[in-house]
Amino acid sequence: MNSWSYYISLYFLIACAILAVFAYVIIPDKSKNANDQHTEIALRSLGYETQFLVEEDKSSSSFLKWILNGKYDSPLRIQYDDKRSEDNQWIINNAMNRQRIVDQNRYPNLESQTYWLGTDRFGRDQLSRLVLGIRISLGIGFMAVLISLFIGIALGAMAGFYGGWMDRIVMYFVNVVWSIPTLLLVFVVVLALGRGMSSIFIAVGLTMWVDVARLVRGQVLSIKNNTYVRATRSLAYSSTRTIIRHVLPNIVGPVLVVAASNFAIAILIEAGLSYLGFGVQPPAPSLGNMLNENYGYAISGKIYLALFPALMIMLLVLSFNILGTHLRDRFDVKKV
Amino acid sequence: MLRFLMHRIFVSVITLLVISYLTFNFSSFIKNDPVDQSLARSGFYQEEEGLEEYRKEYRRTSVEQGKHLSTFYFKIAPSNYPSQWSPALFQSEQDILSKQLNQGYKFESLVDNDGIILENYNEVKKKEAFWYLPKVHWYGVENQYHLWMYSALKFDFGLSIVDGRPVSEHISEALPWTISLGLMALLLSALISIPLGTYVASFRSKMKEDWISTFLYGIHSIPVFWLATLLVVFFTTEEYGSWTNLFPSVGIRPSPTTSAWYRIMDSLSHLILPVFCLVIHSLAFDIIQIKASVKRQFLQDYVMTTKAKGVGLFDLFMKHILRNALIPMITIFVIGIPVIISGAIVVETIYNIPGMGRLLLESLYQGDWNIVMAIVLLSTFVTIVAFLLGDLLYAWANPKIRLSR
Repeated sequence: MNSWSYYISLYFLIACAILAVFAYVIIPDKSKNANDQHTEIALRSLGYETQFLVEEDKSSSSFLKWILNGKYDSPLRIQYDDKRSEDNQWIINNAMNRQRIVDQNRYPNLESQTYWLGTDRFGRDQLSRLVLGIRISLGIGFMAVLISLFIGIALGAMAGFYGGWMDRIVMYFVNVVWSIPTLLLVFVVVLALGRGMSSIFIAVGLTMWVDVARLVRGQVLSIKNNTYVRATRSLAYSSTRTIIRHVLPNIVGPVLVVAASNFAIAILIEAGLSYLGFGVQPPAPSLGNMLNENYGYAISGKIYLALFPALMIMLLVLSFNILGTHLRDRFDVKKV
Repeated sequence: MLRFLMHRIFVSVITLLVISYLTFNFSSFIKNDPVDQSLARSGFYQEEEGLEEYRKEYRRTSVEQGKHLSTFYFKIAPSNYPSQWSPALFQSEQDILSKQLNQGYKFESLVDNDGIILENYNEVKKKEAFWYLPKVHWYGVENQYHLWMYSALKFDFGLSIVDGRPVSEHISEALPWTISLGLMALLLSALISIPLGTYVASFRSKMKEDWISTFLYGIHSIPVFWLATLLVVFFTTEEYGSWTNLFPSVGIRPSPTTSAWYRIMDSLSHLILPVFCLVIHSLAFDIIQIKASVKRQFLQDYVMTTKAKGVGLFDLFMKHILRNALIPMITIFVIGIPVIISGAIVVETIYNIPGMGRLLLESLYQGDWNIVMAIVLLSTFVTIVAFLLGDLLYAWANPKIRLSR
């Protein structure tokens, strides 16, 4: 794999990560889960632009809080097509052509919003939800990879470094988990812990550590007899210190490779689970969840509703795979 | 070879036992009392007036299904716990009793002679000590796990909690669909990916190879569920032109009146799209792996020697390279089996095929743990046997392993 695809995917992932961290600052819909519903403008196509009357922003949540979770009490908005003012009241016509009278003091602000990716069947902004979907996918992938790395590195390094019965027990355990089809194991763990975001990354992390453990064990075995590791023994370093300070820093490359491919798998599993209704629960906008809500519209000519989330999943997974392959070539990892 | 074989079989059996024990413990997730549920199916409900009657019925069913037995061969519990609950004790009452016992109350002061919790246990309960030494109870083969495993060996997984039919009946109805789906997908992807992977490996241009790798990774990144949905939308409706409506719509309704031949053809036409999905999903991955393993052979010295001897490219592939590249290929397809099992869950759900995957998902939704346990056990069994087979093939193809022990 040459460098252009590697750099494209690397920059794409960095951009997605920045987008994910500052999601609520960037997206137009700042309410929690981007769940600002306006059924009168449901299913509008790309680039639809409309006007709103907006309540005064009395949101009490602090900046740090809403950057993480969105605004719990985001200002109410009323959509209108045309309006006229009559003794301190707005008389508006909305997109469904219904007349409404609104108090001007309560809704003093005007705002226009462009729905770049259209609206879904509840009239929510698809773009905002897509960005939050990326955020959830990356977040779950990150947590799952973190869990799998933690367990996998600890067990794999111990198995490789100490050998003997420790090695046998760990490899035995790895074989047991290895023999259960991944999705099956994830299903069972999710059902045991209850549906929700945290149970997905725990489930995925608990199934993926075996790859990490196998790889780390192999790598530790291959460098265990190098002179610098033997030197630590003659210097009477404790084995914990040797593992953490001298062995692990030398196998970071291969671990990164398996982390990248695990990231891709975690995103796919999360999307699949959410698609089947076992994953992230609505109204939280996961990519798989959005596909599940919108795939029906592929028939009615609004295929873009279901296209963008799927495209996003594909791009994320593809980027991680390319990253992994490139790193594998670079660190010359034979077997993962 | 024999020693290798024995060792592998031994390890597989132990693995299967461990997994079966873990699987069996899924039943502890059950929120509802299974005995209550099976009584509700036959029209008995727990009500205030007929409680005595209900308890009699409960005891009968509980003994019949063996639900009063211990769950494993032994139990380690504080010594104020009884060795076994009474079969007539409801699960909710067991929970109350456990809570009282954990606080240190004597078991005898909480229940009557029949082992059923007293109504005024709060007034008469007695405390002997604040904590008790753990005591090991040994049950022998009279325990739920043993009985479940023993009947599972005879392909009897008990009754479905939801509709009361035998689980084995549900499974034998669903199994043919998944087996035909999985086998077709596995064979097709093997048949296509071996020649294609070898072909891709023979490319000399770095540029070409990069583009193809990126393309293959792109295909590998398509989520199965998304591909499946897209294919349904495009090829079973007339939305995008009448010529795209090539396949029958989703859902198989076998009607017994039609001839067997017609039914087979009808099922096949329903299986084309799902098999296509599964093949596409595993194809790209297989090609990438095969390409890598063939490519590794290309760099070996013997290839140069064979070329120098003037052996043609076809013979070089068939007689030398493919044979050496075969070993990693075995692993690839064996690893593909659990992937296809997982893929079948998604694809069967979307295409409404009454196979194991959809059965599993339906049972998960309805909380039918007997079926879930059976399916998990069966698919792990299949996977373990496949891994064992893979190891044997590996040993067969590689003299280094075959002749070593």
